[in-house]
Amino acid sequence: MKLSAIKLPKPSDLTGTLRAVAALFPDPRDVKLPKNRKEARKAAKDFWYGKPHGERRLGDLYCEKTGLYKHREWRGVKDTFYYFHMIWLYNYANMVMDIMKFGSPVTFVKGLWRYRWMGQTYLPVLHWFDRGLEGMRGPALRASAWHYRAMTCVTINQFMNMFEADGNLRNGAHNDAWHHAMAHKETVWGGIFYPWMDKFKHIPLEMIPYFVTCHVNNHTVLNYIDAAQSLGLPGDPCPMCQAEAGIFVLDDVPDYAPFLVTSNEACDGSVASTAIQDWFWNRPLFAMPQPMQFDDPLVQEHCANEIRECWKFIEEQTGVPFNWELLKENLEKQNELMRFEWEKWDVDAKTGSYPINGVAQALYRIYQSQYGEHFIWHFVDGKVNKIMTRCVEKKIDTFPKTRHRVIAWSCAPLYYSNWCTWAYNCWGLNTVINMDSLMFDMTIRTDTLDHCVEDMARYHEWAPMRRMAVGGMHHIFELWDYMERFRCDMVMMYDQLQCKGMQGVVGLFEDEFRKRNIHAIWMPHALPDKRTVSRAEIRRIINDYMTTVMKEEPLDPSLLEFDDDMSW
Amino acid sequence: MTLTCPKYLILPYLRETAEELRTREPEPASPYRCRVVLSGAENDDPEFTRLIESCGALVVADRYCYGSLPGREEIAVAAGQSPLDAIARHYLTTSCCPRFMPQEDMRSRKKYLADLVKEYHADGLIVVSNKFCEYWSYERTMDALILPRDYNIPTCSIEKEYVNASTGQLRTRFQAFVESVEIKKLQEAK
Repeated sequence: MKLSAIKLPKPSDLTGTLRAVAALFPDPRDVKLPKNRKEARKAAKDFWYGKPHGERRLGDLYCEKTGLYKHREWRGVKDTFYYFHMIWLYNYANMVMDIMKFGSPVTFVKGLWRYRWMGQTYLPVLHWFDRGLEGMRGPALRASAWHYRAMTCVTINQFMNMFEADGNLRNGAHNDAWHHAMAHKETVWGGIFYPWMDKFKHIPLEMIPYFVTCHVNNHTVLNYIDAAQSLGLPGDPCPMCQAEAGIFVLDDVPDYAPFLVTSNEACDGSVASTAIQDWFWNRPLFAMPQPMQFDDPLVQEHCANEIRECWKFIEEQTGVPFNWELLKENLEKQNELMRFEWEKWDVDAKTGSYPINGVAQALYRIYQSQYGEHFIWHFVDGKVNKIMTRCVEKKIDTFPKTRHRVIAWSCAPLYYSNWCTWAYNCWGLNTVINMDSLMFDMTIRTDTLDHCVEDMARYHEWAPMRRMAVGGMHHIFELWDYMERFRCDMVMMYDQLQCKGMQGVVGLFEDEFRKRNIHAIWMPHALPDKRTVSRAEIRRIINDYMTTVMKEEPLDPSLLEFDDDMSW
Repeated sequence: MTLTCPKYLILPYLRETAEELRTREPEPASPYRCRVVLSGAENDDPEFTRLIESCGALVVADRYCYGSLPGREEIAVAAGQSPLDAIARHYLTTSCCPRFMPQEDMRSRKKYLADLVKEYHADGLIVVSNKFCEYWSYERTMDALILPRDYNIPTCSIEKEYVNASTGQLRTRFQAFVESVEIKKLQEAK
């Protein structure tokens, strides 16, 4: 490029840019100096502790029409410094360290360049933290942030494993890592692959390209949905499955493993998208469908046999025999995680000192239980345990502005998983538990192989959508028991507009809500597709219910209406 | 013969039809411009088949959820097996429903359609899915891509409502498909 080709900005452009930058900062004339000692003391207190919930105006932090921040939130000296060092800096540093730990930076850059979902989501990760942790203080900030750290680490581990084995990044050549990788649909529980964990890596196919990207950058997935529809697929099937198919249509899937294990979790769309994936990927595939209505004992036997058949398939593909000791070892580690989760639920249900916010609770749990054993879960659980124990011992009220204890039920909007952070900040709606957290609610016996397989089958059947969305009325209505257990007085009822399973029971839920006199807000959404129901519309629906039915005033009116359509 | 059609009642009519077939003069020319196989989701409305035929495409075989094919195979009852078990097994092994996930089933469904087209000397295939049927939304999309590409079979892909609606638009689609099949035949003849 010639130097003469470089165009310097005109003075008029420069002035405009400077004006735009200046607009980000408060006008000095608007800054009110304290008039008396009382005001000065209050200003000093706000500086030291941060403005209290109810007085602060978080909505003023956003750049208009973007949902992006003008500047970072001042949370008081201690929490702001904690956020800067232990969340922002610590996680950025670890995002680099993890890449070095799980592979090579060169491979990372190649992957970043090659895959759209990777290029568009790596850098906004800390904005994903910011959205989920907005307004959090003290132990709630710290414990929730640790959950985010774990999810980020596992995500990096997974995509680095993909890239290290990826034939697409090596001109089609298949290296040793490719021969030692096992691909599975994200809805196949990672525990199925434990018997080969010493020599092979199991990597979910869509967990990172689809699921994680929706949370981090809600724009990325739209391209994949459009790609699937460009083939002639209608718009009404589940948009999650459409997006998963679209990744294949656009050839945006790493070629990282010689075979694939799929599942029907937990709907017809998932089954159907498997067919399209098989056509594009074209390699040995084992389908492990588990019946939706699983309470019949005959179904148990069938599911257990499917798992055994899957193991035979893996043995054939890898040439490595099934290792019972390895399975046992990993299951016991996973059982430890479940036992700690039960402790967490106990604190959540019985005290006001639970330090994890709604979005961290939901996402961490779904990542952890679906992916399976990983060292980072244990590390983070140790950190969270310390924080939680301190909260309980000191009886710290972790969410002091709670007006309603909310349970979120059914499948959540992936593009707005942090709605519960907003709902707490704006209305004091504290989402204490959700359906996705309550899935896989069991430990697995390891005394004999038969018991183990029986429990593994049950575990697979208890996947969230299968159990509580399409698993029959008894399971769908487990909601009432959980409401009682977690002392909830309100339900946030997710209404996935393209989920035929849950659409069929809307009327039944409405009848039950009226009969039981339960406040329930229906939240329409389309899983990853924000174009169907925007984040702003979701907020408007909650605002309307809170003002017209509950007749309450917002804690932070600046959060009532804002346009974050362009935000990640 | 079934209980609804006892042998002694139907035989005279069958004999009469057989006699008529021996002496019947064939029509001078077929009113149809091409032969098609019809495949797709649940459809129990014969008017839909009539609609296609009114556009000049003779439906020579159909592969619906409730269609003729597959369904003409013998249901074999093995020694010691209960008839109910035999029927259940028959459905599981012969069904072409897209909800079956094993890899060989997913792939053989395409081959089955291609074989039907060949066996019934059809010129093309019409694949139909009902709105909101997840299985057939995907299956139809894939059939419309795979059958022309891998088997060189002209394919018309239709998404419709369960009831026979929007017949004007559908008629236009079928007429266009018949024309395209005719053009293909003309080009091949050259």
